Amino acid sequence: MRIVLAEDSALFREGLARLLAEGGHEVVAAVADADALVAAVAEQRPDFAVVDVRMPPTMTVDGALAARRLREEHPGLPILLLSQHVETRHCVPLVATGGFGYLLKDRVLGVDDFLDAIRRVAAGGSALDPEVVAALLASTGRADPLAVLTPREREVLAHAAEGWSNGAIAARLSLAERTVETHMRSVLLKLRVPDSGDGHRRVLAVLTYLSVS
Amino acid sequence: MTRTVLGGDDDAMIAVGRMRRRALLPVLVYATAVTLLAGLTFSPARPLSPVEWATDSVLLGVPVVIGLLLSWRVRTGPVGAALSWVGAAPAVVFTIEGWGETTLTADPWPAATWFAVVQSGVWVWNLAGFVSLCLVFPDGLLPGRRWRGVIAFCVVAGISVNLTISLLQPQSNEPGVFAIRVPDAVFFGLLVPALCSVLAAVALAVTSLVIRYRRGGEMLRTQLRWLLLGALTVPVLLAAGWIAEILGAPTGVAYVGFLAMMVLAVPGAIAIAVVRHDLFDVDRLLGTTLAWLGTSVVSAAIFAAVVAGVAQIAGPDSTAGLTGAAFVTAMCLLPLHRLLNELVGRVVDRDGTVSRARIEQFVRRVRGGEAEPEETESVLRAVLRDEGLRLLVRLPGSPPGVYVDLAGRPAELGPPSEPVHLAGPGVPAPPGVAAGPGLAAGPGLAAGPGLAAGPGLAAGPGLAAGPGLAGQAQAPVGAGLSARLSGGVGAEAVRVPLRTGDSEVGVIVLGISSARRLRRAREAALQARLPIEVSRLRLELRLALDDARAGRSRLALAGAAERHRLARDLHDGAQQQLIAVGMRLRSVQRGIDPALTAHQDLEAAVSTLAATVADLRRLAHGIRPARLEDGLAAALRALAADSSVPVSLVVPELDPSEAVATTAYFLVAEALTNAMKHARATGISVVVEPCGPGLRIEVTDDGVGGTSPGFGLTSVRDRVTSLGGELTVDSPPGGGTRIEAVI
Repeated sequence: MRIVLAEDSALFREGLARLLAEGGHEVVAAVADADALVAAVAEQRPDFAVVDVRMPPTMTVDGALAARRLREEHPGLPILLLSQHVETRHCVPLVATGGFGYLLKDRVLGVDDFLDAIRRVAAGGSALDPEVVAALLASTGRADPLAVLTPREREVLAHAAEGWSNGAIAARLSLAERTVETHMRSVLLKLRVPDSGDGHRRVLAVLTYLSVS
Repeated sequence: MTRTVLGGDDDAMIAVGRMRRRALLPVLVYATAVTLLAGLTFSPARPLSPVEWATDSVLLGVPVVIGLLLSWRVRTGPVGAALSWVGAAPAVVFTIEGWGETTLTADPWPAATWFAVVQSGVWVWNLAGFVSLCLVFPDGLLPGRRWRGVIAFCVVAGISVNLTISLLQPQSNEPGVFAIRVPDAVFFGLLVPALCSVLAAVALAVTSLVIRYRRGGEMLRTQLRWLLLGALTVPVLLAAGWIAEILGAPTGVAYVGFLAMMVLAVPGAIAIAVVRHDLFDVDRLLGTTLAWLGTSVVSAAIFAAVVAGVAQIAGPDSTAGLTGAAFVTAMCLLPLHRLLNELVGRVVDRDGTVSRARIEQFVRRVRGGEAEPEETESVLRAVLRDEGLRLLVRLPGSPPGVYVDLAGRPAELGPPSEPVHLAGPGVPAPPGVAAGPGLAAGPGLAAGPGLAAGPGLAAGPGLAAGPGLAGQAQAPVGAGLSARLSGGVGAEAVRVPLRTGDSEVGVIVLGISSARRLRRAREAALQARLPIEVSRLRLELRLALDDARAGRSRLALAGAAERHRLARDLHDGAQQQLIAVGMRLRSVQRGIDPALTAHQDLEAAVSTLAATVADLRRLAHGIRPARLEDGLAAALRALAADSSVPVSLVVPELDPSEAVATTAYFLVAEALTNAMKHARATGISVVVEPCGPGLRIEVTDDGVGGTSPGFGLTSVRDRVTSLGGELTVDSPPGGGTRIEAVI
């Protein structure tokens, strides 16, 4: 894939570019601030964008804001946000639209998982850091909507929200895939989310329901 | 002259002209009478001795001259003229009497018979000047419209007495020069009502003063008090005259003081009243005079009574009487004087006495802790009846002229002006003013009153209009006095500086300025010294405390900002670099055969790096929770979600400052940890709500309670108090724990 990379720390940027190249991708532009990112995307028309949340000019959430802008200007462009810590405020609208990922930066050390997450996002799915999921679930503003779930169901839901398929969840939790499917149906029933049949959409719908409504 | 300053328009000039004519008439009459008296004295008839003539002329001349000067300098209508008539009328009476008496000599003057007829009852006109003075003093106006009738009544009463005595004669008397002999009954039947009506006229005149006093304002009352003070010397010296006569002094000598004071003290007092009623504290003067007078009389009576009493018992020659009397009197003297002073003060100097008592009471209440010293300003306002009065203090280290009120607010004041020193050494002694020459010699002194009597006089701050005019119109002689009186009394308010030792600690700014007010304010300031000083010190203390709190709060905020920066440095610096290094290692690792030991070493290194990064995140989180990036509400929800005990959380979306948010977060985190670890709680409730500019946080659990104020709460309490907040922990054993903080 042709990837645009936006990261202000030169050391990190170089490392990430190299890692992506070794993963078989082509880094067509590596920029250091939000404005350059928008320009580079417009110019290069990449297949994918990896964006650091905290970037110049204001060093706050410029990356997240730039991602939202990219989502408006290039609706089909998959975006992966990287952050040092969890800041969900500007991500919620993006989570719901799919083709979006949000990982903590240390995840890149697990290179294979990282490249897998890029693949999932590029395919229109999602890749959310477990901590991001926890934050999104916690910030619902309601008296714990997940209280109705059993611990196992919660676990399944959290993994699903991270973007894993039922098969992957089954492997990670050492369960049969059929059991995961049962748990998932139960979750959707309890949270009153209509099952659309598409795994990623389903999870995104749950997250959207939990975080936005 | 001042005239040009005062009489700006034609009407005023006409009024001045009329005033002069009115003032000149008694002077001309007096001059004529004195001349005629001189003629009588030095004529062969000699009804008067030259010494008597000279004495009479001089004594009677004093009110005439003072009256003339008053009407010349001060626009108070007919007051000056009336005062002149006090001297001129007796001069006329004496002349008529002398003229009439020439019939008894070998060389009668022309028409002496007619004068002889008139003279027997003419004495009644001696009172004319006094009565008219009473009717028009001090502002030249009658107390009311109907009082015109009183004037007519006075004239009729005088004429009726004069005519009755002059024309009629009771049969029981020796035949006079010329008289219609009537039966006694007829004569007295006419004379008694006539005399009574004269008495009534005098009584009415005095009543007019009483009415004015009751209706009048502060200034008018002060003026009337001056008259009372002057008049008071008359009976005193009369009594002295009697005593002198009893002791064997010749009648002429004994009453000289009385006569002199009658024509000196009353006009002098009136002159002061009109010209400078504010010059001295007449109330106090009068009060003290009366009090000492009373004390003398009563102690003399006690002395006499004891002497007489002892003489009765021990015989007239015993010295025990004198000794005992002296002893008893000495014992009584001071308490008696104090008592009388208080009593007289209540009558004569009511305002002063009452205000002194009120301030004393206030000071007592402050001492007793029943009143706050900060109320001093309002108490002074009430006591001095000055709504515009302000009590300001200086804070230590502030530049001169910078004041704050007792609430600590800075007070706007104009440039500092020289405070008025009424009691200063430069003010001339009263005799100079009262005796007349001072007035005649000092145009400055006279010019001052001219200003004071202008339109501003009635308005109270008459002095306030002074400075500019006084400065231009005055001759140098009086400039010292006027400048002193008006110095600092400009359009701005008058200030009374408050001092401790050499340094000025505050100031009382008067809204209404007059020398009298100033004097009262000085007294009040002295009396209220304790509460003023206490409130000033308390203000200093409070400001110092506020300062310390603000400093601590600034430190806390700076600390919070510093932690924020540190956390960010950890995040954006060290952590990122570690990860970058990790990526390089990963990159290297990928190029190596997985079977090699190096590959496994690299794997271990990267794992350690990842663990270190996680550690660093936890560390940074402890410094400043990263969850706060999403706002306090989200961070608290995350905390509640982490809890193993169900947490009911009520928190609105808030955007408090960094320091407040961090403190609130740590407080809730610590409280939740405690509830889970120690309280064995099954439910926790967290309520956060805005409270003023900050937050109120309440964490309650249903656990075992009995939390000792230790654990992590101590550091949380420090955080809370460093922001000027308060933390209360309520944890009865078995009753759950309730932690409440207001930040």
